[in-house]
Amino acid sequence: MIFSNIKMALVSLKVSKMRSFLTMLGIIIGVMQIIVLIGLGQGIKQDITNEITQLGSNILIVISGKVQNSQGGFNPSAAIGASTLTEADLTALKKLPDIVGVTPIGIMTAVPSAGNNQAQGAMVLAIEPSFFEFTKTYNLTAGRLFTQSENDQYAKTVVLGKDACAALFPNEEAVNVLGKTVTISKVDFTVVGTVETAQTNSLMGGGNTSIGLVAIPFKTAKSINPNTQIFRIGLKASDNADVKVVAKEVQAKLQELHGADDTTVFTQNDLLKVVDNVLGLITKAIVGLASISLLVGGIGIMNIMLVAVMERTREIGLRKAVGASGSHILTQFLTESVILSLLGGIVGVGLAAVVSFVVKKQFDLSIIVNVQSIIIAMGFSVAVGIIFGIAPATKAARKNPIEALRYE
Amino acid sequence: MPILRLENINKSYNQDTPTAFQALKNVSFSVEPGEFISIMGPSGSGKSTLLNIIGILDVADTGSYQLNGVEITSLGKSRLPAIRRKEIGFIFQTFNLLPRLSVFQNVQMPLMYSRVQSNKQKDRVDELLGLVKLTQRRNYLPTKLSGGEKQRVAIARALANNPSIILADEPTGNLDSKSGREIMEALAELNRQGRTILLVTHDQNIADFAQRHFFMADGVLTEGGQKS
Ligand SMILES: Nc1ncnc2c1ncn2[C@@H]1O[C@H](COP(=O)(O)OP(=O)(O)OP(=O)(O)O)[C@@H](O)[C@H]1O
Ligand SMILES: [Mg+2]
Repeated sequence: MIFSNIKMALVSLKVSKMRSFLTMLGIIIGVMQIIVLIGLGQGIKQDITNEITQLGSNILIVISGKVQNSQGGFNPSAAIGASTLTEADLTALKKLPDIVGVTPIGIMTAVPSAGNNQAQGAMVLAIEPSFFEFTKTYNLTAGRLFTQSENDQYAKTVVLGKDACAALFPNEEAVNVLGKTVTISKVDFTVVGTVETAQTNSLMGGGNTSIGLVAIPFKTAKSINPNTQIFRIGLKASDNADVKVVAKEVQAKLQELHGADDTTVFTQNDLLKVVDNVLGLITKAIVGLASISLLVGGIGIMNIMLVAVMERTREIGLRKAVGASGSHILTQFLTESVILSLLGGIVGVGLAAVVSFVVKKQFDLSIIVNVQSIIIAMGFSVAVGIIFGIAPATKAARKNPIEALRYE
Repeated sequence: MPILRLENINKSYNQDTPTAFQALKNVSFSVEPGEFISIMGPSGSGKSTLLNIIGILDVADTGSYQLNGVEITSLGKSRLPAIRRKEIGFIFQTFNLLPRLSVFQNVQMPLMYSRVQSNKQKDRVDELLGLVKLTQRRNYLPTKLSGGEKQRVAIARALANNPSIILADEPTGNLDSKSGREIMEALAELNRQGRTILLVTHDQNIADFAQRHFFMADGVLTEGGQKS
């Protein structure tokens, strides 16, 4: 019976192909949106997660401000404002027994220039060479990184990221940029190396900072502008230490030094959790929005099914005359609406595959289309078929056979 | 035991309104197995109303209706489709074939509702199509058939579940006289094989195929061969 119902439904849908297609459109778009948007969320999450995992599980990041609100939620605005991290903190943290490495990350507000070219929007990082050990996401493309002794001697050397390099020295090969001069805050720096990275840098709290990266030795920066702030502190715990415990120690030490609990210490796990929280929320919102097109699609299905029930009044009467019960008729029309929305769902999945492919190619975004999101989307479309098919199917099932047979 | 027995059946339309109309008035009659019965009468006299009640598509207001000993009027509504499926075969004036289904699928439909196994369905449909001499038209759509052929498909469909009685409401009404006679000969042949048939018609020549004749006027049924 189920099988013949499905066959019947396909026959009915085939009779009015255009109408069936237009009816499915809402479902097609809704399902496509759900799959692509969930896929996008998953893709972003995976990228960020990969990068965070690359940091190593023994890396801790200290940022100024309390990012965790009282409910344990994420409060990104707390990270904005003047930093309370100082060089005294660095020295003190270095002395903690479980800490084997400390690196400061500062930011200089300056627009680097070379000749007439400016690197607008580039981020001038004041860092120590150990920074590059903390984050392995940078690849040297030419030259070298600056050294610890250069830092100690206030050397005026600079490492450029790919985009900063392109802005300052258009049409130049990376190798040819080495030895050239970049002016930052009216001071001339010599380019010693260029780096590139495909990934965002979570030490900087997300954003595509690597692209416009301009890195100078921390001490040099401090000597040029004594107000250079420490924006982040990267810490490396010893291999056999429990990072959770170390994070508490660091937090306690900073509270003691600052006389206030005004910093946040992130472990790899914390960062992963934050990413999970934020992207989970975004995904929920997105799915909610996409459900609206499913809703619209569902109303379309209901509308068309009501028309179909009307048009096929005589058929309903006849079926009842040969012995169909109300529930036979109900099942028949319900099957039809579910098939309609399920077909829409299948086409939507196909379309999602195409869209994801194009987005991946064109915008270099990772979209993860997995079985789970396909199942969710298909589940949604079946549910829409049932929910919006019930009313028309009930109407069909309740038709009086005599009147139905008389219907012209 | 009669196949069906009606006693004092009354049926009104639009009851308790100004347009109230009594279509059946104290109708009583019974049908024995193997009988071929005709009901004649002018338009609007209540013939179809009676046939619908016998076919359990409608229910009487008062009176008793027994089908194979079962009191239909005392059954709950949900029980009726199963009885209709098993006991009744309808043939309509307008054939009422489903246009999107093939000849085979149209005949198959009552079997699907009776949950007959699908391989048995196929055998049964082929047997029925042989009976009405439409094996050649098995996969045609109804639109490709002549009126007589359509009505033969309808006869095959009515026989599918081997019902106790065939109810034919003006089966020749939409046919020319030649096809009409062919259909009646087919019904007569079925009757000779033991089928019980109840026929409603305007046409005396058609009614003559039956053995027992009833006349309906203004909702009153009387036995006897009155001419219309
Ligand atoms: N659903 C209905 N509502 C109101 N009146 C109805 C309804 N069905 C039938 N009637 C009336 O009941 C009377 C009997 O109708 P019925 O269809 O039984 O006549 P009939 O003898 O079959 O006529 P015909 O030979 O034209 O088919 C008619 O006057 C008709 O108008
Ligand atoms: Mg009639």
